[in-house]
Amino acid sequence: MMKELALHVLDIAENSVRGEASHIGITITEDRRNNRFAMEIDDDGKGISPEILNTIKDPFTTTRTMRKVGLGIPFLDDTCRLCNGHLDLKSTVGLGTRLSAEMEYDHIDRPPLGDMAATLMVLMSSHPDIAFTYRHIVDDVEFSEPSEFEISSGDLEDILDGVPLTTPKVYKWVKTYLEENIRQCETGGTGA
Amino acid sequence: MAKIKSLEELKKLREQAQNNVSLRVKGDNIEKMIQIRVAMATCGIAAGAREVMTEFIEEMDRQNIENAVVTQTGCMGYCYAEPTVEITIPGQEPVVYGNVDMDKVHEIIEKTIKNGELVDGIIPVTHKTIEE
Repeated sequence: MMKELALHVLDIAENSVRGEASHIGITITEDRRNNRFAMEIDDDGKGISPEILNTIKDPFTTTRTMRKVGLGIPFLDDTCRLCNGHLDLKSTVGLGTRLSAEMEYDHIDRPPLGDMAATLMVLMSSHPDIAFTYRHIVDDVEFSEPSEFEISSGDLEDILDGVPLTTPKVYKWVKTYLEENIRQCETGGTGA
Repeated sequence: MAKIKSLEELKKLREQAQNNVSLRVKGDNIEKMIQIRVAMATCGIAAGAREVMTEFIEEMDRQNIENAVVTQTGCMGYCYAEPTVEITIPGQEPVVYGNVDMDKVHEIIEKTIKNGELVDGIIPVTHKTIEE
């Protein structure tokens, strides 16, 4: 089992990488107002055939027929159902795949989101040729309006001008930048 | 909403990095670098591979170690021993370490990356690197 939902995001996004995606979008929605937590991962990879899509939530059929998916999706599906939510996968061969996972925000069994900054840094530094877009939206009864943070690996590349993300000092700076902005988004822009 | 850190700051860091001669040397000598590959499949992630990879990058940053690159690989079939890390010293056969925790990361950096020595915890099978 994954201790954090951010680890599920990493795991699912790695499926997109293996599915030859050139763009991967990750959206986290913390709709506390409506007690809803949602995460969405979409890609423009090669897609999943209808036959495999039908059995993708079953760990026994999927691991036998398609090793690339294995236990990752069944684990996440299980967590969603445990938290009165559901997992939905839509895919078109040749166009891409979109996974949405929904849970009750305050369900006692919902794992914490965890370290999204670490997940994003691992994804972006391991796959410099893939464009990642991250969106984080938080709404709370105490917020006057939903807060939102968005970053794409393209924005960072434009500034870095060929300097790798793993360059000393740069890596740490970007990670801290993500951590601070995600924290600010989660607290409604008032700061920690 | 005011950003806490401005991306302008990153521009300055980039300029510093571009002026750094060792970076250019590093780019030219990629095949002479030690390759550290962390297995990042479901089994690895559940066991702590993300933290292991982060620690390799951050600890080498802290110590200014520049003779190694950190990347990832898929499941190598040693799910029982995750997190696993494959270390390839140029000109040598790759070696896989199993059950890599934070202490093992530091031991690998101190002994293998800095001095080229092997440490305990090698998965004792004939290992061939996998291409993904």
